[in-house]
Amino acid sequence: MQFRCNKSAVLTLCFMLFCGLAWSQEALEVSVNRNPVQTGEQIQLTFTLKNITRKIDAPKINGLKFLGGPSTSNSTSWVNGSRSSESSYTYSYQVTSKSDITVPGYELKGSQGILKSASFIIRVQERNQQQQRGNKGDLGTVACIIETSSRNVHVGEPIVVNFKIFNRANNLDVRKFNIPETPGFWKETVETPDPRWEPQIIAGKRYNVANVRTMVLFPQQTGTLTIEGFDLVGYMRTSFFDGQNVTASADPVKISVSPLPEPIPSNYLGSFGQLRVNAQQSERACKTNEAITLDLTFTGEGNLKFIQEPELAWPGEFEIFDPEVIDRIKVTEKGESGTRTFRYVVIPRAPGNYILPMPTGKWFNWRKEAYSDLTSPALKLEVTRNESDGGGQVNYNSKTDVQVLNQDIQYIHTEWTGPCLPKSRTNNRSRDAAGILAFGPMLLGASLWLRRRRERDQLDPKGARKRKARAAVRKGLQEAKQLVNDPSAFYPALGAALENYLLAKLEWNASQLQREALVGALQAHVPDLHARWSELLQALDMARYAPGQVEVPTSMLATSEALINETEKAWNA
Amino acid sequence: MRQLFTVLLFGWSCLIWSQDDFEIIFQTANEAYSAGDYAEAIAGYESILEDRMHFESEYNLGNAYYKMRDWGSAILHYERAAQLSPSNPDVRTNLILANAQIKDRIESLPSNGILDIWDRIVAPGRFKLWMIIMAFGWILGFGALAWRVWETRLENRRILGTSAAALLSLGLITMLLAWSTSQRIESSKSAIITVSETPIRNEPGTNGMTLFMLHEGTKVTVMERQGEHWEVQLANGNTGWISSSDLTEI
Repeated sequence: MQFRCNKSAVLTLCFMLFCGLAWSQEALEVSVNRNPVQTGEQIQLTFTLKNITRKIDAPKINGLKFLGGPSTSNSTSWVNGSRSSESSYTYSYQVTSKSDITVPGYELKGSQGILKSASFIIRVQERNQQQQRGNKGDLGTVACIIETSSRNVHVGEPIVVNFKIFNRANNLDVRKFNIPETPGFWKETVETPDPRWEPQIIAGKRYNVANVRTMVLFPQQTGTLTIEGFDLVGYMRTSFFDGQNVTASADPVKISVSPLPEPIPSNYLGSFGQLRVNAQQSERACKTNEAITLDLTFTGEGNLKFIQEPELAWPGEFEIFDPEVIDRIKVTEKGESGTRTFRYVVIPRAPGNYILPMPTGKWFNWRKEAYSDLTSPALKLEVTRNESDGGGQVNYNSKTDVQVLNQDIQYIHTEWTGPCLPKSRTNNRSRDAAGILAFGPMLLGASLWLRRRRERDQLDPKGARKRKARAAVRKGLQEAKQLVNDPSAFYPALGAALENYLLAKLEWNASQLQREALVGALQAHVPDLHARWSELLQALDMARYAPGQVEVPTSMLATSEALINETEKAWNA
Repeated sequence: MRQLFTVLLFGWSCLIWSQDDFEIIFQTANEAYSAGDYAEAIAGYESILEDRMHFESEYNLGNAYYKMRDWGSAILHYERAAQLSPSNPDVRTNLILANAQIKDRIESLPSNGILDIWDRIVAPGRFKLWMIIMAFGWILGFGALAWRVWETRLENRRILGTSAAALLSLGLITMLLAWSTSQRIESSKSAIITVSETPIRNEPGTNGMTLFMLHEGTKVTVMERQGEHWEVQLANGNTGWISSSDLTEI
């Protein structure tokens, strides 16, 4: 079968298609999802391109802060052979300006020339000028609402805050929401199950409402505190293929916080809806050195975590350990309540009947807007002596760190102990060192000299005897010379010196000293002098026993010295 | 010999007599201090220290100046006392308290490892220690050699020879340390600023540029002397020239 094509028909169809395409008009439009707006609100600018494909970058606009994007969507349609396409780029901005914002016209080069969007103005309203939507009269399609249990409170009085999303559409996809920070508040978050949509009729309209967060806030400062910044970013599907981004911001909520009534008590405990304290002891009676426990339980409504360890005046005989803090506190949609227990371990160290200390103070009752007293009945403890301690009482002294109150220098030294030397003696380092250095070699030198002398004496016994005799007579004559004025002592000393000299010369012992033998030995060694020696020794004998018959000591000393010198010469020869 | 003994006895008698005399002045100054008459106490202690060195008098004089709130003089005398007795805890405590009163806060240079260790070894306070060890090693070493001369047994001679070598080595090492310490003492004299405020200039004289100001009680090291102008170095390494009348050597 042969396909036969009518050329003219084909050309006609192509012409019609071309004309259809050519007739599709290119356009650029810029739109905003909300106008007027409030400062701080999020808005979305959408750039719609018709029959043209271009990428649009986020423009900088004065008064708007770029947050994110783009979110894009494309669609193409054929109508009666005419093709039309549409692309949109959506950017999120936050309004930062307090005055109107001008969105300028944007230009884009298309195939048919320059495309230009129309300029327009975004009206910015003050927040208080806008209709408060707290009455939920007109929430729009999607709305964020901050619900508070109260807007006028005292410091420390809790506020329950719910962050809710209202939605009339069934197909809202909540992609992101911001729970604001709450400066000036102590925040406790209520643990709730995952939020879910619940139907609610408001002003005759059906809304889906989700409570995304519940918090209990305790204002910590006075003045007007603002909760703001609860924003939502979602996507609402308009058809199976299409949808649009939606945003919503909650109106800020101002909380007026009043100060506590004056005068504030010095023993102020905190601000509560209700507060009482119960004391419970593990034993009413115990023995010394046995531990008991005392539970002080604070029960009430409010931020019980603010209750600090009470200052208790314990008896000095008690040893107290740091208390264990046991919290059983619930945070619910109604607020915060529960108990805080301080569990003390107490060891009494001495017997006696004691009254256990109880906490006292005043707390502010926000319901009555007045201060209330915290009271509790006193507990007694009877402590008896523990006989198992060996019958003796354990002395217990609680110890604390010594606090340094003042500092001063150490006192003067009153004892005179150290040396008090002239300053001239303190700069003798070189002399001292030289003395130490010289002493060692001198010691060695002396030792060597003595050793050498001893060796020389061993090699020359005759010379050694001679030196020994000379030393002996020199010493003896010196002693005798000192006694020359005392004849009774002089002559014995001189006699002893001469005898020692002759004993050394002859190498005799004292027992060998006899006059006849001595004379004989002298005759043998010094034949010319032995007569004079005999005469001198005899004169000395006479002098010892008959002092008046001999010459004077000085002449006898001179005679002795001369005779010794001559004997030395003759003996050597 | 007898004459020498007589001279020594006379000298010792003079010393004993003068010590007793100074001790009376010392006790009188102590009583004045206890009575709160610090000016009289200062006069007493200074009369002792005029031409003598005495630890207790230096320390007590520092205390008296401290009580008079004369921080510079107090630190000066505490430092002198510390040189006489470096390990005395009272001096160290009072010196810390006195230094806490002065105006200048000077951070010391960071430690530089081996050089820092060497500085500690040859610190001025170590001189006496090195001298004692040197005397011990040197004299005992030569004593061992002297003994070895008379020793006849080979084993004993060997022991004495080895001991002598070890002791003499110890003596030589400590001799070098003592010499280095002595050089350190000679080269780095410390001084205390004794005026309330004084400029430190970049050159000797009064025409130089003022680099920084020092205040009473600050300790400096004297590096060089040119007449009445001394070059000083601070603990943080800064140097400059100062008038010698504004500081007192320790």
